[in-house]
Amino acid sequence: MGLKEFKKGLVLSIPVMTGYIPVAIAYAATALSTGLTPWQTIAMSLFVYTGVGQMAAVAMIGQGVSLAGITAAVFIMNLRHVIMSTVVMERMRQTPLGIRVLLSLGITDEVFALETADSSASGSSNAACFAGIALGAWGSWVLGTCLGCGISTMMPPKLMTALSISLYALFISILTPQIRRHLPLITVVLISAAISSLIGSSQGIIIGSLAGAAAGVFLVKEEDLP
Amino acid sequence: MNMGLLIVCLALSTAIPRILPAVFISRMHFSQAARRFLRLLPVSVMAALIFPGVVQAAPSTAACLLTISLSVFCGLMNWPPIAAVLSSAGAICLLLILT
Repeated sequence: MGLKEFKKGLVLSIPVMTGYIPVAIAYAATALSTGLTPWQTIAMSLFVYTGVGQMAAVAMIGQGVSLAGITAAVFIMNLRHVIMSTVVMERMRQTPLGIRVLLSLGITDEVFALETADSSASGSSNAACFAGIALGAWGSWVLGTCLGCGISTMMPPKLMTALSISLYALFISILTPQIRRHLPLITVVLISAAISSLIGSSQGIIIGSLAGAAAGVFLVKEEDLP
Repeated sequence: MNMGLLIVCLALSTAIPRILPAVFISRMHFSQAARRFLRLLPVSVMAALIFPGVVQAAPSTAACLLTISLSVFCGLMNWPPIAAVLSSAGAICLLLILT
């Protein structure tokens, strides 16, 4: 009834899985070193399920940002999902509403990229295939988080304290290849970083990021990210 | 901070942007500028977080510069993120032991 399409989706998601597992392990390691319990770390991966959002939240917890501040910053980061979901849902108009809502929860940057690149026929077969991709991606993300929690319990305490700064190392190592591919992004980075550093604390993060993205609308051409 | 409440809030803040188009697909139209803005937000939020954060969290200027250089290097080599995490953590551990 779509089982074949579902399995095809699972297979398609393998490249996403190989990307997600190491990042999830790194996320778990830094979350634990910031002071989250393994359950909290895994719960975030289960229920929040955004790579950059979870990592940003962990960083802000470490900085002592308020609950409202963290929610606001992560919500702003998540707004791009509206665009991605719109594009995906455009191809699933015939799918029943309940299923569309359920599937929308599986939309991430990588799942979106895979789904829009895969040019098979539209209709219910597309929904089953997407379900396979989404489930494979989500499952691997949670699995990677669990693995990361398991590995971290075996690490010496000195390494754990050093890991709290390496959360930023994680961000930088993710940001750098993106900037190298799209050099104009450096303007966005510089503006956001400068304003955020000048204003400070969670207001600085939000104002800096909004200003950086706004500047990018004018300064960056269509070479921005997918 | 109540972690349970935070996770619920974050779950909602992620679910709502995903679900809205599923429900309202017939009424969603975005201008080019709006699309670009929303797609730039993850990069700008990360940048806004990184720079004050790494300066704040580093035990010394040397540790800060070391972390930044190691992770930029790992990023340029396109190694998986865990490489940057472990190498900078290891380097800082060494720095802390030596000083």
